[in-house]
Amino acid sequence: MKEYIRHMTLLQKLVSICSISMLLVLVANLVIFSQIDQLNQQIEVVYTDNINLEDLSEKLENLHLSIEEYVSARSTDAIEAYYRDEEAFRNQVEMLNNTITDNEILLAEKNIRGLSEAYLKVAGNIIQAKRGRNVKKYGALSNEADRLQADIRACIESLNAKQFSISSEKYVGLLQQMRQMKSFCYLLLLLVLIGNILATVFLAGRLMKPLKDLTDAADSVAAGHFDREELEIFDMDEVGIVTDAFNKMLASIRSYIRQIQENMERENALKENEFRMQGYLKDAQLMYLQAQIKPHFLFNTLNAGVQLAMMEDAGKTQKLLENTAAFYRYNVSKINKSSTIAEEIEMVDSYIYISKVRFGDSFVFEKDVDETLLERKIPSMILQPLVENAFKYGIKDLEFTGRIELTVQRTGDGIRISIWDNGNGISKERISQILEGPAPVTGNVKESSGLGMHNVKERLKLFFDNRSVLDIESEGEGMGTEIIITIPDEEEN
Amino acid sequence: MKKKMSGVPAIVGYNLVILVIIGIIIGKTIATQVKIQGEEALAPVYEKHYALISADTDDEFWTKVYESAKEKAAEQNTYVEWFGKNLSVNYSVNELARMAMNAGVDGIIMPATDDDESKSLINTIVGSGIPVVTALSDCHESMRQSYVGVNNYDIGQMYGERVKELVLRRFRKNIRVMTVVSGDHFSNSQNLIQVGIREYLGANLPGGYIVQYETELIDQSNTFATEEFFNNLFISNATLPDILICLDEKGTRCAYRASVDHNRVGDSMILGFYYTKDILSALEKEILDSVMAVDADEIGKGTVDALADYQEYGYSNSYSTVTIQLLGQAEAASILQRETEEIPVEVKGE
Repeated sequence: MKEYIRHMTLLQKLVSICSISMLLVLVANLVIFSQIDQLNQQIEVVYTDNINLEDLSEKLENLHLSIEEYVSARSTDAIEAYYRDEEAFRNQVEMLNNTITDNEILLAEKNIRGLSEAYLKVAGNIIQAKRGRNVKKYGALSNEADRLQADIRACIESLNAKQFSISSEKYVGLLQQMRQMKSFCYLLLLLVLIGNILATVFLAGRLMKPLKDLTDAADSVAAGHFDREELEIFDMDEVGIVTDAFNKMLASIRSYIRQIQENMERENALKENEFRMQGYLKDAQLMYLQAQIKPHFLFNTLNAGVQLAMMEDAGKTQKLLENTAAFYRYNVSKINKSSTIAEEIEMVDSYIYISKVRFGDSFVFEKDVDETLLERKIPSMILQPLVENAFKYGIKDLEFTGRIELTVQRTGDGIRISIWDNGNGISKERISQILEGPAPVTGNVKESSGLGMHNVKERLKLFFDNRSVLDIESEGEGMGTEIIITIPDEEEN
Repeated sequence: MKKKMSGVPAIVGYNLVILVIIGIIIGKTIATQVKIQGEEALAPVYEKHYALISADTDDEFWTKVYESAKEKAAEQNTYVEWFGKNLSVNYSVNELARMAMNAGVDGIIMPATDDDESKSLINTIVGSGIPVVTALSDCHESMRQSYVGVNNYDIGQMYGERVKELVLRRFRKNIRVMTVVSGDHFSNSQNLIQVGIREYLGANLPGGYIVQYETELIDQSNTFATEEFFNNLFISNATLPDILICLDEKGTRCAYRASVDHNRVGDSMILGFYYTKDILSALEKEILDSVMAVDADEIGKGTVDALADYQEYGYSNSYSTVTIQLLGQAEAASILQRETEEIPVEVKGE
């Protein structure tokens, strides 16, 4: 039943409300009318007993007159009238009570009935005597009939008076009852009316509330508030169905918005990467340009120097110039391009050679490279700046022989490239600054030969999908430094 | 999310109120119907119907007789009707008895007189198969089944004894004694009372006293005949007797009231019949000298028993006497005292 009500349509509900309301009023009126009708019926029967007694008295009178008429005239009409009146009186008498009770009304009826039966018996005897022309007998019987008639009439009058008194009491009681009934009926109708109004307000409110909630929700959503709670569904009528659809629509909108937000975030990240890449490229290009001061003139000069050294048979000078030329050529040609580990090591070798020429045997450079990894791709200009940093900030001003070791090995985590020095070392705070701090502005990049630790770090991240592949380890001041690059092993990937 | 809205308690409460009011309306209508129709329908049904007839339906003595008879008859599934009490026309005892006979009652209890009319009527009634028991006064020559009442000669003797005491104590040699009775003629019963008085005084009063006996009959055809008679009696010294003997309760009551109204208390010594609370009070105040107390309860029960015996066995004791006692001031005070203590008034049995 409840489910049926929940699934009723709006039209069905409105019709039901109106029907129930009218039905209540109808039932109340029917009850009132039926009760009033019953009271009216009772009022009608209140004086019935008096009417019956009057009727009995009248029939007795008629019968008595018929007897007198027959006694005096002895006509056929008179005897017919007698029989008619006798039957009518007898029928009326038989309606009277014949039981013995302590109710004085019923007992009086019994007495009247007894007297009447005696009267009828005497009347019959009068007729018989008259027919037999027994004048003396019917004369005496007539006197007896007169006396009996008088007695019956006296009894009827007494009973009638008593009955009237009782009937009047009943009548007054019924009138009082009618008045009370009227009050109750007014109260009933008033309550039904109030109840109907309240029920209509309640039910109409119940019908309208979901609609109002839906309207408010639509306004709210139109104003851009998509994070509101779902609407309650009271019934599965048209409003309930629309509300359900609205909730689903709201959920879909929220889902779409979430997807759009995610896409935008993703795009923003990509754009940010692009911007950062472009920034670093510009840094590199700037540095490149700084380093390319008249590069052709420098290359030509260095080549001329190589040829001159060759002609003068100065082998060491020739090799220095060749290395210097190779160093700068690599710088110019490989910037913004990927390279191999072999090319990067070659660049480191050129740099070390130049540095050896410049600083003599003040330091030792060693390398341990897994030959199988030489062709692995890495960004260009990575190892040389790191070796240069190790030289410049690690071992340059040492009072003992500085040492730089380059190691390229395959480990469980990938390819491990290490530049180790036994120099000044770096404090933990500085390592954190270098690894986590923001990239320095382009203008702060030092030295033309290196692109700086941050530049190296960021280019490695960009090259390896934002993974931090660079790490710095140092036990502290004077304890040396190891810069470790761990890159994925392409064969493994 | 689906949620059910709840207005159910309010709707249930509202419907209950409506139902209660409808129930009250229907209930009151049914109650009215039951009240209007129920009294007659619920009346108990009896096997037999006796008619008790008395000359005066307001008389407390007869009221007591009726109540006792009705109570006793109820034990035998019989209803006793005080015939004529509810009639708006005044009928004589004989007329009522005839009416009861024609109405077909199963038995009649009535005071009777010894005249021919009464005798004839009783014989007619008995001849029609309806037993008759006379009460308090008898028609011993009739065919009545039984008489339950007092021995009137004994009553006369008791009155005579008291008259003698009064005469010896208070009066002069020449005194007037008036006996007042109600009815249209003197009955044997009343004559016997007067004979009893006279014989007792004649035998017991010392010589030298002259007693003048008078008897007055109050015709009851006039409703206020008794009151008028005693008012006239107490107006003048010429008519007021030295000793006034009233042979019914109404006469007793009217006599003492007239003596008080006319400020003649003590001028005439009043001897009454039966007693009520008023009469006892008058006795205690010595307005009345004494009253003859007859056990009405015994009469009521005795008449019903006599009718029942006759109907069961075909005969009954034809003559039964009940206890009588002459009450004076002391007895009246005692009875009133007992009434105050809420003890029912009973005549002391002998």
